[in-house]
Amino acid sequence: MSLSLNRPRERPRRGGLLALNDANPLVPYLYLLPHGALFLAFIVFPILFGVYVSTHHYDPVATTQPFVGLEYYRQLFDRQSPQFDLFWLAMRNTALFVVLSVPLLVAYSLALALQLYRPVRGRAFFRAVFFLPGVLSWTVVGVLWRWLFDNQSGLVNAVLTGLGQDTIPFLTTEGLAWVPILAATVWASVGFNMTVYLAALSGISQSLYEAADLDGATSWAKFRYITWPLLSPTTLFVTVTTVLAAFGLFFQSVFITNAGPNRSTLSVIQYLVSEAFTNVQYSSAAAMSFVFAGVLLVFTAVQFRLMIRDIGGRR
Amino acid sequence: MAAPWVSAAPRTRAATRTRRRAHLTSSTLRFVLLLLQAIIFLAPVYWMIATSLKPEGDTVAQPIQWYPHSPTLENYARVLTSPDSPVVRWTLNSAFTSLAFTFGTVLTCSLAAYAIARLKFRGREAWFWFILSSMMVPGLTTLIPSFIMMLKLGWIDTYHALIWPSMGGAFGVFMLRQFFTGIPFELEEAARLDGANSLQVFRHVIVPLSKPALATLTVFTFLGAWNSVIWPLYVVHGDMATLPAGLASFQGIYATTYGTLMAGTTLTALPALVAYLFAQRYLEEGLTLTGLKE
Amino acid sequence: MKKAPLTFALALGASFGLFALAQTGYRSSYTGPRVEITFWNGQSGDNRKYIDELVKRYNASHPNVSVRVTTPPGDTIAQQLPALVAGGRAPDVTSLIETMTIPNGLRGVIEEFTPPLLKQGNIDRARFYPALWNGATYGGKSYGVPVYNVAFAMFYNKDLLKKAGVSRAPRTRDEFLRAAQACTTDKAGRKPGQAGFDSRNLQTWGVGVPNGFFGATLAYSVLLQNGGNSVTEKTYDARFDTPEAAQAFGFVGDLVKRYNVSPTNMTEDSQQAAFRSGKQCFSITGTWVMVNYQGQKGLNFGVAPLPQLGGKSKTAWGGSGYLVLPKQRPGYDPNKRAAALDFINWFTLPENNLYFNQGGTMPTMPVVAKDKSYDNTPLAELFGGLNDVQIEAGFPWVDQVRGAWIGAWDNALSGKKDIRTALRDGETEAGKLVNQARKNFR
Repeated sequence: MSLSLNRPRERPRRGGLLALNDANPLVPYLYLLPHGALFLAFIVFPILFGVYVSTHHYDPVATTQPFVGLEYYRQLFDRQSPQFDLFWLAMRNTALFVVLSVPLLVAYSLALALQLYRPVRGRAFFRAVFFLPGVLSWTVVGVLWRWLFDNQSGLVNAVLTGLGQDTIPFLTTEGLAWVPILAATVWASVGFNMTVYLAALSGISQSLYEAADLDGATSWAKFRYITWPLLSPTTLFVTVTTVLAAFGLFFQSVFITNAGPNRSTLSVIQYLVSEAFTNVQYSSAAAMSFVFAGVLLVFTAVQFRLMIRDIGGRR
Repeated sequence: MAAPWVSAAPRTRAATRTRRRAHLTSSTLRFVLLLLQAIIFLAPVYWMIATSLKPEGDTVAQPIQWYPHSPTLENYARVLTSPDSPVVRWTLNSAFTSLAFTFGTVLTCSLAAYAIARLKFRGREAWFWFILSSMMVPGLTTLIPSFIMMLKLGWIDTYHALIWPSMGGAFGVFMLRQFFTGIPFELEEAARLDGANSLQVFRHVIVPLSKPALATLTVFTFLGAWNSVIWPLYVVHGDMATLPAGLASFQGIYATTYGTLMAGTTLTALPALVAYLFAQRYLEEGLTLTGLKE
Repeated sequence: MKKAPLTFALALGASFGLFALAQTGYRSSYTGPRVEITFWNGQSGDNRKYIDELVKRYNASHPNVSVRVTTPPGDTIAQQLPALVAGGRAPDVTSLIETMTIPNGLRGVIEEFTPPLLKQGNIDRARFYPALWNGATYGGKSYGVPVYNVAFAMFYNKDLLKKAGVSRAPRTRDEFLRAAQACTTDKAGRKPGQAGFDSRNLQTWGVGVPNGFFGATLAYSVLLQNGGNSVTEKTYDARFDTPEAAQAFGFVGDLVKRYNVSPTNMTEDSQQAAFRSGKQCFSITGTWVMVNYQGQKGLNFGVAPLPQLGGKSKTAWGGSGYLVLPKQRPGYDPNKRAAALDFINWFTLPENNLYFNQGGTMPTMPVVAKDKSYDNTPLAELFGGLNDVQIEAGFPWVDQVRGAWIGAWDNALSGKKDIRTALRDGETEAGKLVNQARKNFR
């Protein structure tokens, strides 16, 4: 490649709308075409189709799909409908899971990162161990943790018995049933957040700490006045992604408690898919997913803001 | 850390020494703490493997067997030979669809991202924002309509249902566009002067310079596809299932035959764990790259 | 609900006569030209093997029909069938479980077996247990031909019973309670009722009363034994708040709370685990669970019909599978329909049902249950009770009612609600669902 900058720029030879060269103004669109077609067909169309399904009495067997307007949305707010109780119960359960799991996941991942970012023996090993469960699918995690917390023969209760304690019926006690779900969630996803925090920590200049050392600052003071403020964008990012992931609660409660006891761990997604696939109420399920998406909008909007702040093109 | 300035004042030197000693003890303390946590993190994996090696009669034995007293591979044999758990077939399904999906995603997304980042055309910004704004709609919202689409297309229980639908996702375009935008235009200029067209620029300039980003996207897309469950659970069944979706139905059949169940779980976990060992670097770099760079 | 796995292999031994039953009067009803038909079988496990073999035999003995069998999981069939029928791509024959048969019939997804159709295929409904046949019949219309049968039964640990001094499997409520109490001992060796008996720390016990489908279905069986039901007779409206239901909930709950013969907080899994590890005398559960017990070393068990725990009868909950004819587009080859009917008839003949049951299911008709080839199997003891099995089906909203019933049971067992409130709330919930379903099936 020659680098003669003052050579006159060669114009591409031929133009025309059918020629495959850069003079053709349609060429850029060709690059967009494969992704764009898939995007329109499988992302945009389903959203629009979902709006159609949720506003019609949709039945794939029927020859007509009568328009019912917002009926399926209305019934989610109608005490008399069969959906009302379960949908809002599932919403409350899921919200509870978010409230319980997010602080845990954020705080513990930060704690792990703080333990690991300074040199310590076996650091690479530890990083791998904490990260490793994150590459397992939720099926594996769910099936495994149900077995670990089994009322009768699970490892956790065996350890309790070994310590001379009574066994705890985690899977059948309302409230306690969240314990295995939370434990499984932390186990499986804390590693991702930890890695993000580790990256952010490595970006903090050591000279700040050295200066603080000169002032005789305690570790707590250094954390409080240097680390924590500098990590706040990371914390925001981690929190928002964790909140969105937590709202997606599904497999942990399907496999570990199967929504029980007394449906106290029924999640929105589990209810939604059972409405669609067990009760064959596609329209009602579609309406639910839009209402649910509306609830998530606050968080998706924040995430969106975080992402587009990147677009400024800092690189 | 023997910085020269510590000699400045005796008080500081003493303080530094105490701190250093404190640092040493705290580092040992941290090590012990980390070790404890690591044991807890590894215990489930140990228990999964230990259970899978016990004969079915021993899995619920009282008192509990902390390790397999008479280790056996019979659970694995059962999983591997049962017509209800074609694990090998599921693994191949997962591997093929995940690879095809990953290849397609990286290819289509990089082409689109290239156009958006480096070419000039009408509607460029608008299209980018359009794609990007789709990320505000949670994927779940399209689960039901997408499923009906698959029914209508006759794609249930076919590879198509696993390969095409998510390929239109916006994330890859967004991520690569960010990276491509950062590549200095001077590098491209030289190739242009030599008469390279846009495709050649893409192949010979942009792609080689974007290897870390492309590798990261590849690893993420692959792991995401490999581990995804909700969608496969509803669109592929039986012999066409993926490994995690197959394990889900397997769990229904072998709910309380724990040895068999854990053998199936171990077999399902294994490929991801092996892949992790190979891709560890990209995964962690990727998290940094896609996470936050302030 | 875990019901798909009907995978327990009967230890029938070499003495099992594959054709112990005479090939009674079967003549192929299809005489047309050679056709190929497709058959979707939703059965997993050992059943699958026997189905494949039966199809092979049918093809060998019927040169003018070729049946192609595929095995998608049961729930796939139920999910996809409507869309496939709408698109004209449905199989010629498929199997469906009991809760899916009538709804699909009413939605226009599968054909009604009208008398002329039955006659065309020589299918004689009188050979099946009436309860099984009626499980797919609604409003006088039948939508499926029974192909297998499953039921709630009582597994018992022979060694443990002997130790407790019980000589045979109990048949009445009193016998059951006595036996269960004889089985129950706390960690210090005390019996229920003795001073200082610690019901929270049991060493061995009588029975496991779990939450969820399995506990609720035990309570449902007792409700049937009391002469009640969870739906009204003609209109199939949910009706939980009845004395019979309250008694059933009360009695089954008292096994835990009053008689102390079951630990608290049992799940179906822990109930099974306890039976397998030899701590529990009785396991009242579905027949398909037997596969888990057969794999257990040193577990010496038998299977008996559900004892009469309620007031009036010995009824036990049952489930079933049906062969059905998906609707086809106009212009569908009548020869295929005729061949499909013959296949369905042949497949459900006594001798083939006998063979099929080696996969772990139970006879669909009395003549098979009486066959002497069963005499040496643990299940034989159960077959005397098959007449008492009542299929929880026969109306379109079984799943909806069942879901609410399970909810009510969990609330009552856990003590979250008192029995009346739990039943009343469950009835309200089921009522809403039934009303909604009714609109869909109009």
